[in-house]
Amino acid sequence: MSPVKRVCAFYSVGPHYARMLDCLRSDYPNAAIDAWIPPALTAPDAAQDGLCDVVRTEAPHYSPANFAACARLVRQLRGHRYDIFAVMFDSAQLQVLAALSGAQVRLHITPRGKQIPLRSSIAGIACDWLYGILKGRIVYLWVWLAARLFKVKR
Amino acid sequence: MRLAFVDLLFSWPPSGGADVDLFHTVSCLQELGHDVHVFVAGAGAASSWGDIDPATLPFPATRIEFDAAALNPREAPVRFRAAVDAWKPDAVFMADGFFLKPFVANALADYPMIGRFYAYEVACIRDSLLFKEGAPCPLNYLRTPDECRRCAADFLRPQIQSGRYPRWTEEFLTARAYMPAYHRELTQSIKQYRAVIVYNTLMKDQLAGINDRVHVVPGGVEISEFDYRAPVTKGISERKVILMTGRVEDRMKGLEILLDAGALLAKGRSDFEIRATLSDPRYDREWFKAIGWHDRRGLVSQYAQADICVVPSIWEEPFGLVAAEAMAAGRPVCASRAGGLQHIVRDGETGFLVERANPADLARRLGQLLDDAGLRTRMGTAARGIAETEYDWKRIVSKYYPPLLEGMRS
Repeated sequence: MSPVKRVCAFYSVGPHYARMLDCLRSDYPNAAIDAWIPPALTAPDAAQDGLCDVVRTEAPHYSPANFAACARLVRQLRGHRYDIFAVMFDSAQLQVLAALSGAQVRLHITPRGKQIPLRSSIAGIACDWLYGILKGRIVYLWVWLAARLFKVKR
Repeated sequence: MRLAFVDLLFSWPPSGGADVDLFHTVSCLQELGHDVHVFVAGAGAASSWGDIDPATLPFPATRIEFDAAALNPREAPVRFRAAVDAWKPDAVFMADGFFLKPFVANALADYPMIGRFYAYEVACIRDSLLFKEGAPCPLNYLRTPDECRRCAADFLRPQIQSGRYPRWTEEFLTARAYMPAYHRELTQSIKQYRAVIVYNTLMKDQLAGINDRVHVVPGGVEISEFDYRAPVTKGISERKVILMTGRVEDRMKGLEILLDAGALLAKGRSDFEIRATLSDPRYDREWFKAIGWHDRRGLVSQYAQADICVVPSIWEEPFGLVAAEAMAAGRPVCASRAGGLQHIVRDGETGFLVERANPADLARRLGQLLDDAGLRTRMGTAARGIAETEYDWKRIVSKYYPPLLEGMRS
């Protein structure tokens, strides 16, 4: 029999946390699911309705600008040795957090309950991020010029 | 009649009010004996847009699959046209969509068409909200396209520069909505609708001169979802619950106004608690509680616990679904005199309309309701009655749609 999996369901503000917990519970019925609620957020009902095993609110306040707080958060997450780390959105920040969580399986769960694996390497995430920014700046330069240079003929 | 419904964003379970509106409209028209079919754009596994399982819907639907590259102004119209042609409808109902909608609508122009607008997407290409710098924006893209193009480009700058675009921004770029040609495409699509349906008179006015066959049709609520029970009458000293639901985090929903009104009330009384579907506990205080997100079941339960509902929006709510829901739950509503809210709430009968962005006015009306249990009950009962007679989906569809569809035949 395989050991009980440890799952972290990391909360962000969004309407589909209950669905995310539901998905995790149905896919991993024997798993121990921890609902991680950052301190700036109110625990949604879903976290208290038996869809998870533990509600954790001890995560420190963190932001990408506060390296020490981020490091503390990562240390806490790694300390729990999660097998699965699930997030509600696939932002670059959450991708990095997932990659640093130490979990073998990192998932983005969509509002429709689809599970999409997150990129695993920090280098890959950084490359995507840099490419996006470079492309975005070039595209925006064109949009900015077009919105000012060309006029609608009335 | 054979009615094809084309929606580029529809998903079920719903992502928003437009999905709910289309679902009930199609279901009720089917019950009225029409042959209906919904065509939806599926945008890949990771996207929540267009995510439907046709087998679980109560009406026939086809999901037209697009990968990210194919959902563009060249391929989307061709593929929708082919799918609709194959079904041979008598008329087409053009439902929700962002910037690709005009292209698809123009590709289907041979059919008699009804165009449906759910927000201010024709007047505001920045975010469809027509709300800027803390107040409703007086501009209209149809009349001031160059100012609006610049505004949209400036507003979307952080998203575009990040290189990670949400669907709205993705379509803004794909459809080249920042170019003059998009204005022609949109105007042409609006002109060719035989009828246009909107939620309020402001939206109707925005289309004046371009299409004058505009009909104001309200949204509805699922009345049976709300198990109506009169609120327990609370004594003068007992705490009454004032509830604010919806996307409370959005500045335009007026949370700040409600907090100011609450502070004014709290100076003279302690018999109330304001609850808001907000996830940020930093707002919590003795008389205010952030209750987080709720699913439908949770929301219905919150309405049942409430004594008064409040909708302090400072933008022009296209419809104001939360006010209609509160009425269906049989609760008096204090709402801003703004957008569709002023058509839903009957001032002095089912609640009070207050001056937009005026905390003192809101506090005064809330105080009046807190003081008078009889008034709360009377208004709540009247609200439920009106919700049943005017906002029940079946009644809405059978009242407004048959004359519109007759117009499609001629």
